[in-house]
Amino acid sequence: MPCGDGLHVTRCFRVHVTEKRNMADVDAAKALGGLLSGIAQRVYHNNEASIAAADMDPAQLEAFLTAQTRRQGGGGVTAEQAAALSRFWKGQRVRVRESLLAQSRWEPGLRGLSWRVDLQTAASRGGADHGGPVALVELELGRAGQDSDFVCLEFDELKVNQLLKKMADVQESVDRIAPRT
Amino acid sequence: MLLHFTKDVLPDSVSTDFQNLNKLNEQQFPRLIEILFQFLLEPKETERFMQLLGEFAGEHGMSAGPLKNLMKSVLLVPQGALRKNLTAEQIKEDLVTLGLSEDKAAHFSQQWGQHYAALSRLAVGQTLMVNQLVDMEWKFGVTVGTSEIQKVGNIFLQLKLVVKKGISTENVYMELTLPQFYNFLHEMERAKASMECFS
Repeated sequence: MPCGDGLHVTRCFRVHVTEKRNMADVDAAKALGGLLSGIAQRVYHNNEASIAAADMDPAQLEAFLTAQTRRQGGGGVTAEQAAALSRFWKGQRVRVRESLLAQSRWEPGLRGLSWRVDLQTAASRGGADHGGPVALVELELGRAGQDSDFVCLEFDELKVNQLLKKMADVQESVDRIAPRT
Repeated sequence: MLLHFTKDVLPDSVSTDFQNLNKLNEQQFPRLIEILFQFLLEPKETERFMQLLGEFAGEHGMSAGPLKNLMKSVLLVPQGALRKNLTAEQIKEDLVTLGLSEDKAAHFSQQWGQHYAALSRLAVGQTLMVNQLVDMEWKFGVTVGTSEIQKVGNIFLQLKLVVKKGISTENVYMELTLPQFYNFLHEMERAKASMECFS
C-alpha cells in the first residue's frame, strides 16, 4: 500500500505482524523486538538519500500486544514485556521519524530567535518626540552539522503588524489542514 | 551637538530629560540606573521595566508618565552605544554633552563598563547589518504521511523571506516545524507588546 506524499521520502512500507498460535509469547515478543530494533538501527544510521521507513500502526501494535497478553490471562512477564516493547517502539519511532525528517529537509531550520526593541532617535519618524520603537529580530538559521547563519531584521510597528497578519494567515491554514484539539 | 552614539539630531526634550536626571539624589540615581541596566540585560522584559519605573516613581513622589518618557530618552544612549560598540569613556562624554553632571555620568559609564561584556553578548544586530523584511511567502511541506493521526507531526512550514539588504534584495529560506512556527509567532507577539509599551 503506498503511503507518504511526493515531496520528500520516496518509499515506506508497513510491517505486518501476524499472530502465530504455535509461537511462544516470549519468542514472539523477542522476534518482534529484534525485527523492530534491526529496522530502527538501519534506518537511523542510514545516510543514503533514498530511505525506507518501517512504520507499524500504533493500533496494530497495541492489538498484537494485547492479543499476546490476553493469551497468558494477563500474566506478569508477558504484560511487562508488552509494555516495555510498546514503550521501546514508541520511543524508536520518534527517533526514526526525526531522523527521516532531518535527512529530508531541503532548507535550513530555525535554530534560534532573539529580539529587542530600540527607540529611534530621529524625531522625523512618526512625529512623536522620540520617533517610534523599532524591533530588531535576529534569526539563527542552519542545517544539521553546519554552522549557523544569522539574519537580522528591523521592524517598525507597521511592519510588525503586517508580519503578524501573515502569520495569522499561516495559522488559519494550519488549522484547516490539521485542526487543533 | 557632537555625539558618539548617534549622528541624528536629537529633539530638545532629550537634553531637558538628561538635565532633569541631575535632580535625583545619591540614592535615587543609582537605583534608577540599576533598573535601566536590568532592562538592558533582559530586553524582552519590557513590562517588568515599566512596572519598576512605576514603583520608583511612587516611592519618590514622581509621576510615572514623565519618568517613563524620561527613561525613553535615557535608553537612546546605551542602545546607540551598543550598535556602535562605544567605550565607557565615550558614553561618559556623550552623557556630559547631553547635560548630565560629571559624577552621574561617571557612575553611568562605570556601570556600562561593568556590564558591557554581557550586553554585547546579548546585543541583537550589534555586529550584523540590519535589514528590512520586504515580503514573506510560505507553503507547507508534508513528509512521511502514514495516517491521519500523524498529520500534525509531519507538517513543515517552508518560509521565504524577501529581505532588503542595502540596495539589493535577497531571499532567505527556512523550514519550521509547527512548534517552531508557534514559538516564532509567540516571540513576535511579545516584541509587538514590547513596542506598545514604548510607543
